[in-house]
Amino acid sequence: MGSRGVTELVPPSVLGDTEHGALIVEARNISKFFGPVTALNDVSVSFRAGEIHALVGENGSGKSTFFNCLSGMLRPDNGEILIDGIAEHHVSVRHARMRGVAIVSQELSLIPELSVAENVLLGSRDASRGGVLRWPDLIRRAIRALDYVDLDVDVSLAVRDLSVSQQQLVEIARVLSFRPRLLLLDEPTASLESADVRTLIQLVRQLASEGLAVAFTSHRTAEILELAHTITVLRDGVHIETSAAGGIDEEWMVSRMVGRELAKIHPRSISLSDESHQKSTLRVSNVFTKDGLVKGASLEVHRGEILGMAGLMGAGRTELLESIFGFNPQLSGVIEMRDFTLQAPTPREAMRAGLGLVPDNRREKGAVMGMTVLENMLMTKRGLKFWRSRRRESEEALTWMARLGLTRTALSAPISSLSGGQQQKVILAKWLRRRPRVLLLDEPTRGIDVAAKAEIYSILEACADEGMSIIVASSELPELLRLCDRIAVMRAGRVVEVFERGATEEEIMSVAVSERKS
Amino acid sequence: MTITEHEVREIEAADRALSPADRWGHLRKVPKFAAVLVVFVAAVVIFRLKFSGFLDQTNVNSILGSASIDFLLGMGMTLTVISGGIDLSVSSTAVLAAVCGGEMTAHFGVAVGIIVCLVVGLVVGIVNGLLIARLRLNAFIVTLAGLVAYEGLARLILNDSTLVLTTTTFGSFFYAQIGPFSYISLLMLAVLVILSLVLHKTYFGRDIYAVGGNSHAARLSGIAVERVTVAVYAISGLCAGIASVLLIGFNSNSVDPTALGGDELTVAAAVLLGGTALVGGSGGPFGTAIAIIFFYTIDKGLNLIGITATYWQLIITGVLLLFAVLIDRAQLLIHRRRITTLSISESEK
Repeated sequence: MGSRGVTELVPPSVLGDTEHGALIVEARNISKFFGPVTALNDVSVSFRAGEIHALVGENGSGKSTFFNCLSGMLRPDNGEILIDGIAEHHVSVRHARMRGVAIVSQELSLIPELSVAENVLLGSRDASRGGVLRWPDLIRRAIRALDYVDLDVDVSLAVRDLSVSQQQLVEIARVLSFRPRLLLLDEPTASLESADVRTLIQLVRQLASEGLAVAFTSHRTAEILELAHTITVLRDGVHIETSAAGGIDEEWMVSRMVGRELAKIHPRSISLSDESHQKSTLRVSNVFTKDGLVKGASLEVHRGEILGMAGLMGAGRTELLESIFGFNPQLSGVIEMRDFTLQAPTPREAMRAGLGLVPDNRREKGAVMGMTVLENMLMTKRGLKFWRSRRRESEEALTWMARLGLTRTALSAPISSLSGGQQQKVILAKWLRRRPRVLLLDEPTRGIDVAAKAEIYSILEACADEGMSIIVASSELPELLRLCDRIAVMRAGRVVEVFERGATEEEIMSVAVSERKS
Repeated sequence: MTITEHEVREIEAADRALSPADRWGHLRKVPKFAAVLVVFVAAVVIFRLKFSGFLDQTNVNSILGSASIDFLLGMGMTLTVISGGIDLSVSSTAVLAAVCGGEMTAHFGVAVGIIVCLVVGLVVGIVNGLLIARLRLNAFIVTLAGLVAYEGLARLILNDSTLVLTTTTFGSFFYAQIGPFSYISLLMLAVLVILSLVLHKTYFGRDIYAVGGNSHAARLSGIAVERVTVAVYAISGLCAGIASVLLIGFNSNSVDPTALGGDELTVAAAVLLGGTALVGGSGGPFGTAIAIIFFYTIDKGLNLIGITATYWQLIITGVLLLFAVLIDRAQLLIHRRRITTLSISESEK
């Protein structure tokens, strides 16, 4: 792809006329305050041509704020940003972009209803004459730009119809068309599947080898260690350390991010031959859903067991979990629990039978963002009480907040003001208070920092130890391998294989991606 | 995992520490109808300075009386907007209920007539609710269809004429007083208080906000979204039913099926001006109440000055709506900044 990348759209600098290692952007003593809060405190980092620079830190450590300062989204309160040694006072994203700094944010800035071609050229006037779009030109340019990121899609498709990873590539292609010299990627892999992460990693390497400076943030330690040349750790807005990636391991990184050694993780082990774990608490057979994404899935989970669900995106994990809980309409299938047999249940029936679901998307399905922590936590009603009582409610909420380690959070704060990890704990509490017999969790740690992840794991393990059955669907295999007693792999809407603890990532992936045998 | 005294203290301290923010939270809601509250007070003060009798019992009761029908319609509509929908059919529902109730009064007496008014309102509301919740139809379109159809139905029943009742009970109820208060104003107050209590002190009320705020999350939390939706439109219909009784009284014991034409827009404007966001999940009946009373205060005041043309009321309503949206916008910006600050401070502790 490198050789045919010579087009008018590809910036000359990407093709390597900047010497590798040359200083491109230097941030000096950047500070940023939000009211009384110091988001960045005297941070100095430099970015060099050809270098892949990872910025790591927990949520709220200031990574995104730092990126936003570099990309002109925010104006630093102190310090300066030098591009090619010239101090810049970015006033806008547009200006930063003109000077060669471009960002791909976590939230993609594509317009779902417009075509791929229009999105790629969005914000550029290249394909218009006097403000009137020239379609043939637009399409030609878009195809070239997409070629460069090795994306082969019909450019007349609406972006909405692309997969998440394709959308991301479209966004990257768009940003590259601005001829950046420093490319900032904020959590580029957060919503990608393993296979797509590989594609992205290759693309980033390719870009860097051509002389582009790349900086990215990620919560996945493995890919940071694999990809980065240089690692900068931020904690509480303070620059802790910048180090060459060689010789660094996960423990080093995490201890600097968290500021303390994390308790060593002991995977719990249950023995399925143990009598108390033999009873199955949930048996799902032959589920088909109306949306056609689950095609005859069956699974079984035992008392006190944590069952993982792996599979590529589109394999039907979310759809299966949501159909068991009755959110996604079922065509057929049987759900057996101890005293209940459900067929195409509603969420209320599923709850009555002892099921709970922590959905994959907090903002869309998990929480009512405009309501308070307390109201969200107590939304799962118990009993037939009509009148609310402030005292009774806060007593219960207090108990759960303390149990889940939310002790620095106010009950009456809007849930939208909490960090992702805190929000997820509130949603967990909302289910745990009902003491479900089987708790279904879909991507429970997506977008959550390392420390909160570890806490959520130990909460789930404690629940399982008390006899709750738990099903966790996740795109992060290491998470499943660490947490789960067994892992069910889904492919094309069915559970194709179930692995016992001890399976390797490779074994599971090979089952997840292999062509369906008839 | 037992909870220690210390941990409880810590959370309570966090709550107290946040209570400025919480007060912020309330402030954020208050200014939404603060705009209309401020101009309302200003208008009252100006009219009072100009006419010394403006705040007299009779004048106040007369303003409240003329506002009463839209007031009740507004209470119902507010609920439907909080739940994430809207009931545009309120005025035709009231007219239809008044026609049916009036016909029944003519045949079976006042008691039956009033019951029929309420029942027709309730039934129409339930029909709206079922269409919206069960068939998943768009609330705007369903109630827009209802707006047209129910008035048509009312005119069909009366064969496009006006029904004049022989009884005077409705009229005398409309103008009756206990001490300084008119029955009507007490009725309005009662409906306002009951709805506020339901919204803020019951689980049903919280469910309405949850459904309006995020219906997916509400459904996934086991809230009976359909039932809540039907109930909300039923309540709106019932409010229209009550309003229909007042309508007969207001028109001196007669029923004119075109009497409320266009009122649904006044009411919708009041709901928005009163701080209930069109997207659902926020707001409340108090702001709507203020906004409606404000409209009729202006009406009355301009009348007293000698401006009888209704276009002034229209112009003022339009300008105020824009004003309210602007204030909302400014609030949102401030709020966003605060949320960013808050989430950073939260996660960095």
